[in-house]
This record gives sequence, C-alpha cells and structure tokens, in this order.
Amino acid sequence: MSSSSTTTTTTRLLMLKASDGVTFEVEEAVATKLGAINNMVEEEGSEDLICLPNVNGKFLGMVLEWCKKHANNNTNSDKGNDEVNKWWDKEFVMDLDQNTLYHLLMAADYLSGTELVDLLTEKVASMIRGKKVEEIRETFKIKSDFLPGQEEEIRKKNSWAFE
Amino acid sequence: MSFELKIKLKLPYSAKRRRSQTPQNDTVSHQTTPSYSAETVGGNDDLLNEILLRLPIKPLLKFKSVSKRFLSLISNPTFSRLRSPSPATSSGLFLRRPWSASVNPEFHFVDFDHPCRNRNPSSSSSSSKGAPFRSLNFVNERYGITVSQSCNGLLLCSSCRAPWSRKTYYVYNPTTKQYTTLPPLPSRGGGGGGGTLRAVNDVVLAFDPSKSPHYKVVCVVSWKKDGVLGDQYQIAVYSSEGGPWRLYGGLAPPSSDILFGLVRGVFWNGAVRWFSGFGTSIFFNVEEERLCEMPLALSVRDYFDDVNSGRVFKYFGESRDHLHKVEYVTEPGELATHCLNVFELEKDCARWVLKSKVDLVEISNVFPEFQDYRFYVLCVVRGELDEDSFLVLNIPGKVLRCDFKSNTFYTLFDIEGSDHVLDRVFFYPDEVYQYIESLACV
Repeated sequence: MSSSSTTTTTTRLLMLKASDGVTFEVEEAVATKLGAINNMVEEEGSEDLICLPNVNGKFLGMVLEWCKKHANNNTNSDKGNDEVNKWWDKEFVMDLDQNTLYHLLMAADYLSGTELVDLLTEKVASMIRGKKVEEIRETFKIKSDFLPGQEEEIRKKNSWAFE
Repeated sequence: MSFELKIKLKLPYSAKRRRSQTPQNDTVSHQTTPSYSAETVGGNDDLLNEILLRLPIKPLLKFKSVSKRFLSLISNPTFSRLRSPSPATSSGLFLRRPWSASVNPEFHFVDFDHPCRNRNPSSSSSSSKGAPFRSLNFVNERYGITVSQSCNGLLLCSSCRAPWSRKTYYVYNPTTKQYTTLPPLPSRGGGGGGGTLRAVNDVVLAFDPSKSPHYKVVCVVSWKKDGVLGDQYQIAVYSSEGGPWRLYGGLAPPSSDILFGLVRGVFWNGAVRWFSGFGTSIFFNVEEERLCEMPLALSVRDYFDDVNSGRVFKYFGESRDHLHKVEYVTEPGELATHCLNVFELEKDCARWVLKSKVDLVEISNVFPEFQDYRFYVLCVVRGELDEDSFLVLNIPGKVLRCDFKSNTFYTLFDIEGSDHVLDRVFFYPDEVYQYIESLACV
C-alpha cells in the first residue's frame, strides 16, 4: 500500500531509445501519454529503459515534445488549458512538410498516441480533401486496380461529387 | 485495463489493433525512406480509415474511384456507422412547396446551422447552395417523385400524382444521391386463397444503422376476397437484405379502433407504430417481424381534451429515436397564456413526459405577423446533447428555430418576398422531412 503510493507521487524518469540510438530521458507522466509506453510501464513496471526500434530519433523527439506540452497543460487543468492545447496543436501541425507529417503519424500510431493520431489524421484530411483522384494516387503511391470500365462506372454513379 | 477501455470508447476502429500491440512484438519494419512515408500510411488500413473518416462527403465519394481498396473501405457499413454515429442528428429540413409548376414537387431546404433568406427554389441563387436537392429527378417518373418519409438518413419516395395502384416506391439517400426502386407489391393476398389488392394503407421505412446496415419497408395492405364481407388486412415487408415482399398476418378484419389508426405509422424504438386516437394501438417489431398489440390506450391526441381544456394537439414525430408530441395550451384573460408543451414518450410507452415549454407570447411580441397565433409546428429536433434540442415553428412567412435550453428563437428561413405569388405562407407539417447526413447504401 505505502510503496504504491510513493511510486505515484515521485517523478519517475524513463529512458526511451530510438532506432538510431538516440535516447530521451522523460518523466513517466509525459511518456505515458503514449498508450504503448503506458502499457509497458503497467505491465513490466520496473523497466526504465525502453527500446523503440521502429521510430527514429527525430520523430520520437517530436512526439515527446507534443506529449510534454500536453502533460504540462493537463496537470493544472481548467477550461483555459483546452484553448491553450488547441492553439498549441495548431502551431504544431501548421508548418509540417508532408514527409514529416506522415512519418510523425506512423510514429504516433506505433506508440498509440491516440490524441496525436487524431490531430495528425485531421491535418492529413485537410490536406487531401481538395485533391483530385489522380493526385491521391500520386500521394499514396497507389495504382488503380480496377478492371476496364469499372472506374468509369463508379465515377458515373457518383458523378455529382466530381462537379 | 481501464486505459484500453478509454481508447475503445473514443476510437473504436483503432482499439482492436492497439490492444495487442506493444512496440517489442511489432514485426512490421518502419519504413525510413523519406519518399515512402505517405505510401506506408496509405497502406495501413487503420490509419487510412482514420483519415477518410475526417473527410467531407464529396471527396469521399470521389475517392471511391482511387482503387479497389479505397472503394471497399469507404463502402464498408462499419465506416458509414463510424462516420455518422447513431442515433443521428438531423441537420436540416426539406419543406415541400405547396405549389410548383413542374411535374416533380419542389422543396425548400432549411439548414439548421445556416439560416438563410429564402428565395425561389428553382432559381439557382446562393441560397440554394448546400441544399441536397431542390426536386427529385433521379429517375424519369411521369407522375413526378415526392418524399413520403425520412428515416435516419434515408428517404422513402414515391410517384407523386399516381393513383395508389400505379405508385412506385423508391428509397433514396439524399447525401450520396443513390437510389433503389422497390419491387411492386404482391397482387394476391397470402394466407389461404388470397384476394385482390384493394388498397395500400400505409408505407413506412424502418432503418436503424446502429442495428443493421439494411433497411426494411413495412406496408399495410388490404385485400378484397370473394364471398367475404369487409377487407382483409395484412402487413407486407420488404427487406434490402432479403429481397421481395413477404406477407404477414392475419390482421383481418381489424377492429374499428385499430383500423382508424392504420395510417402514418412511425418507426421508433425498433418498431413501426400506429398510434390510434383511442382504444388499442398496434406495432410491428421490425427485427423480429412480429405484429403486436399495445394494450394500453396510449393516446397521442386526446380529442375530448382538445375541445374542453384549451389544449390542442399540434405535432407528433420522431427525432434521434425519441418520440415527441406538442400541445398548444391557451388560457384567455388579461395575462393570456399561449404556449407549446413538448412531451416525450417513455421507452416503455407508459406515459408522456413534459420535456419543455415554448412561450409564444414572446414570439408574437417580436413578430407582429404572429399576433393572431396562426402557426404550424414543423419539427421537434433533438440535439446530440439534450440541451441542444429545439423546435421548428412556422409562423406566417417565416420558419423559426426555438431553442429549449436558452429559451431563445431566431429566423431560420424567410419566405416573405418570395417571387412566387402562389407560395403560401405556411408549410404542412405532414410534408416536412428531416435531413440526416448518411453514407448508408440503398
């Protein structure tokens, strides 16, 4: 009983090691904003070094930067902080180039950072909503696999969406 | 444990995937070549779903033609359910114009979020922007097409000026503009020897996307049988999953009090219900396809009260799976009362509960044209949150929105100044249909 209450009150530090060997020392409260880290902490408890072979240092750093802001803003929670978070999120995604955005999204998804995934998918959606079908194929490197005539049929069925 | 539950509530799509995933056992190697990051995201069904869920309808329908995978993701019933969680909230109303010169009836569209000064629907002015349709011409129908009912995103439509025996029924999704034509009703009655079709008394669309991506159409038909006095009644059911009409019952011949109420059925709480004025009401359980009687004399409209107590029945309808009725209460005198009482029916149909009151005196103080309290209640609309609910009121020349919580009202739609002289200043509540955005297949 007493031991569990001390672990929650002290600020525990975790070491996160990215695929390229870059390590980050972060407070547990920050890192556990990521579902995957939270699960590991809950399941394995004592482990202080966590290796993340699927994220490189650059993107892990950005993800943790986001976590840190949100963890800090949430500790003294009142209504104003929602606004601060929103404003900060907007800044965070504003100038991301496409490549960074998609890498970040994969990292966030891999680490189960649900809120961050929400934010980034929203950003992707806003970027692609006005695109043409051909541009979507270009962006996601997709080849049309419809049989001859099928694509025309689908387009015809939804012709008003192309107006 | 509790953490996973939290995710699950928020993001049902991703929860399944994330539950088992921890970084160590993830064997998919991270693609680090920069130019392929979008490709990797695009190749991940869960992420792609999350992105697509955040797109408006138009690009979504457009992107169906990107590839087979895009088509299958966007067409998936789970996707449409996640995109418009049920019960769905309506975002506007179609008001059938009392007069129109063309074969197809015309509709005004009232957008709850964007009040506008209306004009003639046939003119393509800026006000027509955002309206899902002005008139229905998805098929070339010589009798014209009109709407007869709206149900959770789908519209039941039918030939407009056709005699009942020549009516064709359609189910139309105004969001995706897809339609299907229902097969003709059986011409011979079932259950021992049949009889000839005499009348189609009521046709009701039943669609609950939270339970099934398929819909049913429930129809009350009556038959004339040789040598039998009086008509025989049956329920005919069409299912978008199971195909042609099937006949149910033995209603025949129903007692007069049931018969009286067998029009304008409403789909609510899993069943199509016909509320008769007095006596027994019946309902048809859509999932089990079972016809039941409601022993309780649950009156929607109390005819005797109407006359004696200054309470007048004004509206009856469904929104977000809540059933409402509205009564107009007046008390004469120096401090005259004019108010609308909005009731909701409890799920077990035990009683009507007073939900809200709308003071009409305040409205008449603002709008002089409303001095004589001539009005229609067009709709009671439930919001996602209870306190976002409101009532849509039609006073001469205007359609108002009256918010329950704040007790405020404002003009949604202005029909004064319409260039169409024949336009009346009122719409009929029976010709008002809710618009609910939906990706459901028809």
